[in-house]
Amino acid sequence: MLSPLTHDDPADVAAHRLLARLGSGGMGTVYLARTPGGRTVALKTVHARLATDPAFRARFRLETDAARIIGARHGAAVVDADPLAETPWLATEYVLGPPLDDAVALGGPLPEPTVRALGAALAGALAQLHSSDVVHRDLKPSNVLVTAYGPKIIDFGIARAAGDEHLTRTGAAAGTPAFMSPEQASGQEHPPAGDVFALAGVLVFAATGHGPFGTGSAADLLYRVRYADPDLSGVPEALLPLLTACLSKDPEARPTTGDLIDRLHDGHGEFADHLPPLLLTDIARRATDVWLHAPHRLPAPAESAVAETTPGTPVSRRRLLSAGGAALLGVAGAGGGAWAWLRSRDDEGGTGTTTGSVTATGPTAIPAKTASDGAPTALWQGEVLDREQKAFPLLAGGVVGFAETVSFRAVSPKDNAELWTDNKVSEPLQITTDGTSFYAADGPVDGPGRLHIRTLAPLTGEETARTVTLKGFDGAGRNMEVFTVSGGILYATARRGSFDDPLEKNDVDWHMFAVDLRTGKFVWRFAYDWDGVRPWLSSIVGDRLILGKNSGDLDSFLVQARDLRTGRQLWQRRLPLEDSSWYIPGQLTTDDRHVYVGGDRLRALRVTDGRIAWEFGSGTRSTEYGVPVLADGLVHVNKNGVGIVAVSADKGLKRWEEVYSGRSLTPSLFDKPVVGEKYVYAPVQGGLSAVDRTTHVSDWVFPTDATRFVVDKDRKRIIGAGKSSVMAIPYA
Amino acid sequence: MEQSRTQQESARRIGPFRLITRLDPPHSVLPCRRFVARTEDGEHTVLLNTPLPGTDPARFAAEAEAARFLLGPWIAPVTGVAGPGEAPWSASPYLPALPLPVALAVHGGPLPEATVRAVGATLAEALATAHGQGLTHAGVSPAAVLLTADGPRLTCFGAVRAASADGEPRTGLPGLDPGALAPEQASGGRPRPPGDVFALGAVLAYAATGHTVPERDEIPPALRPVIASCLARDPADRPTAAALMTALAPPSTHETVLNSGGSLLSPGWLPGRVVAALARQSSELLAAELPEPARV
Repeated sequence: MLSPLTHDDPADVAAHRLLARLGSGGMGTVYLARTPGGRTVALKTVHARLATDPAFRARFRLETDAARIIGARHGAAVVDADPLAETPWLATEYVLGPPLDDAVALGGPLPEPTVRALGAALAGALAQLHSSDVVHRDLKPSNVLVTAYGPKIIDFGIARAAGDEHLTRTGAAAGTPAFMSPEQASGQEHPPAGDVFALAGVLVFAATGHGPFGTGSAADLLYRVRYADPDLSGVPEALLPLLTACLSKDPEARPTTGDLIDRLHDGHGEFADHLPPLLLTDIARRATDVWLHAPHRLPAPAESAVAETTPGTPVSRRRLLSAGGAALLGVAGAGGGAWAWLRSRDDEGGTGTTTGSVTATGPTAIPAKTASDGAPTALWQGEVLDREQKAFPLLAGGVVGFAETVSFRAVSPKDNAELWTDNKVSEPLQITTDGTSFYAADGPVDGPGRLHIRTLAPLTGEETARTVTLKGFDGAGRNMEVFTVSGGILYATARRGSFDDPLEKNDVDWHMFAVDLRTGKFVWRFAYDWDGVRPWLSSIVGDRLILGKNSGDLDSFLVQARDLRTGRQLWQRRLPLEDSSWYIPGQLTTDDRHVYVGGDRLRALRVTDGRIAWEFGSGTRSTEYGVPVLADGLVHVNKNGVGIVAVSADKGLKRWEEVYSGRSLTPSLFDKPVVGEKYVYAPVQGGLSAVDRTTHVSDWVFPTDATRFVVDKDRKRIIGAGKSSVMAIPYA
Repeated sequence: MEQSRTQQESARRIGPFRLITRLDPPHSVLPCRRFVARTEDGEHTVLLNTPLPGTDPARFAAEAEAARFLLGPWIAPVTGVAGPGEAPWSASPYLPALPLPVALAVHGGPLPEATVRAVGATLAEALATAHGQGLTHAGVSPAAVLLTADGPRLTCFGAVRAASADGEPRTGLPGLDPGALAPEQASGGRPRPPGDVFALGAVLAYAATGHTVPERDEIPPALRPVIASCLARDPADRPTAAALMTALAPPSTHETVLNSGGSLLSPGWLPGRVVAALARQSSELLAAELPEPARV
């Protein structure tokens, strides 16, 4: 809860002395801080690079105003704020109580009296908010803090004054799919009744531990929010009629906040009387621990090797699966949905607690031994902002490119010196490379649709060939994807239409195509049914384009092979991989004979016909084996609870597996390992573990938040990209 | 005008601390005054004790000094005392804490048996440790017991000795709770361990019923024999602190050397409203801000 300051945190912010870190998110960091008069507050600051954006400042001011409107009884009391400072900051009361999702994780679903008391108090808070013409728009378990005197609603990052259309249009409108109202999910105005819908979802979660629409990808959730009946299994019977009414798709049919207060609770006793013992204990502990905290600061890592890993904030990754019906979310990706203060764990795509078995591997603190265990010093290290972590670093012509949240940056792999940046690319998956140039797609946001493909020189970013223009395709759309470029042919998918088409057109008229970059002509092109889910993973094997993607049913992974010259589909295979929505481009592993896919077991599919050549392992978890990587005829894969396992690529026979080194490491199954001559570099929670290929023991862990790694063989280095840092270490 | 403001200002200052609030409600039966105070730089918040007006400051200072030798988790550790020549005070690091009488008030009556048992076992452990060191606490009373989130804290070390010299009757002295004063100490006897056990019995009776001298059948049946044995008039008939601890927290089959009264402090040992009051106190003191230092 209270983490030490890191070496590069400032000593103070506007006369507030910083005492501890409470958390950090994409937008900034929250500190425990003290005023000169000894008052202890929670101090939120905005990242410097975002503070320069007037839109972020506007939203920050809005959050401050909303927090003031809800006041100290139902929210965190605002102590002071300066949205105009160079680093905008907001000081609020330090609230003594866990977020509701933590409370449920701690002691399980809450008993009915607690749910009733919580619901009545939250309805009261919403009533007050609505009477001030503010709707919250992002009510969810992680935004509800449970104190001994009642819940407090926080995080008004996207709360807005009713009728303030400006911010809605510019992308502030976004909620959390699992708790969104159907109105919001379909991109309409979110009325006060939308908050009632969300409140019911929060209560279902409190009573059962699951949201009314389950978990899963954003696309799936949005669909269910709009069309499916809520899952109320486990809800106490007496609450069923009321919650069912609140979860009506029709806003008019939902009870008012006043009805809710009356029907949930008769007002007897005090709020604390209704809380279960574990929750009370947690509140008491928080009330006490803040007084026991001795401020301290982590030392600067040796030769500033590591800057971004903070013990106690397990490195997690969030990937917003962009989807067709979720154009709304696509916009949110630009920043609106990013106001997840205080969160270092996933809470955008899921329910705010756990996202299937992805987090079931367990957030493990960063290994105690870090820089002192023999890990090499970073060759260089830099700060970045890449919330979505969707793209691998791209190597081309002695340059490495990072497609991040704000821009595409080309840097020197030697020292991370920035060579150029490109802001036209609006999506990390709209730029690729064939190793000699970068190819970037974009398009206009008004007028008829066009898709431009620019060929950029690695060193300068200048265009080295004529821009290819595909008329009638929406090049600015967020869901457009460039797969790969090979032999002067670019393979991609895009929608016919223009950027300002109405939302319902986002799902239709999708095409997959190959375009010759010299002539600007299609080599082939055909329409396909958009199933709402991306991204595509691709790999070229001989004369075949191998594609992989989480399917529209969200439970399986589709692998298909197409003829490179004609685009004709040669085969398609469906694998039952629930977690395949977590795969990103760059993670499809192939050789001449097979496509290798992890999951409940490790599978090799034949390139020729898609049949399973061999299977290895028989896990019961949906993800037992991570993303495989090939080297020297061996498939190397991270296995849950074990670490690296090496299996022969031809027959699927085990050759070796990692030997327990005496320190507990949690393999990061959705990150792809790297194989060197001496080591297999295995992504683990909190860093990159070097597993000796001879002894099979992890020699050291390089602490980093990087999740995607590429090898620059010329310079013998591994380059990694994470949510907040990029780095290079020697490759051996 | 100017001068009276200065006086007010200095009245709010004790040693290096500025006072924020009183810990105890008015008319508490307590051998000292207790405040929550903060250093001028806002850095350290403490629980601050000063002698009652009209008592001997030298005796208070001597006991405060001796209290620094008390050990154990259920003792509020004295981490600072007044320097020579200074008006006496003693300080412990602040933790959210409710005096036992306040806890009963916010709970709305006697505490649940599980709470009483946990308080009894932990305090018996604290006394057993002190007695093993050759120290007699001589200050156990309902108000001397603070409840915190992770267990009780015993304060007011040496209150009986500070109140008057041995050999003089101690009835009716300011700050001494007559209900928690063992008969042999009330008549002027030198405080010894059995007196602490008597006082603890009175504390438990208070926690379980709301008064230190309850009718026998007011006490929950399961606690009756053990509380009654503590309150025996003859010190020789009282259990030792160690025996009391065993009686309140019977050893389990998986007992280890690390077991203590703390094993009773499982979730739920404190009633909800007491937790709420602790959280509120914590929250209010986090929000407390010292006024700008007066420039005199």
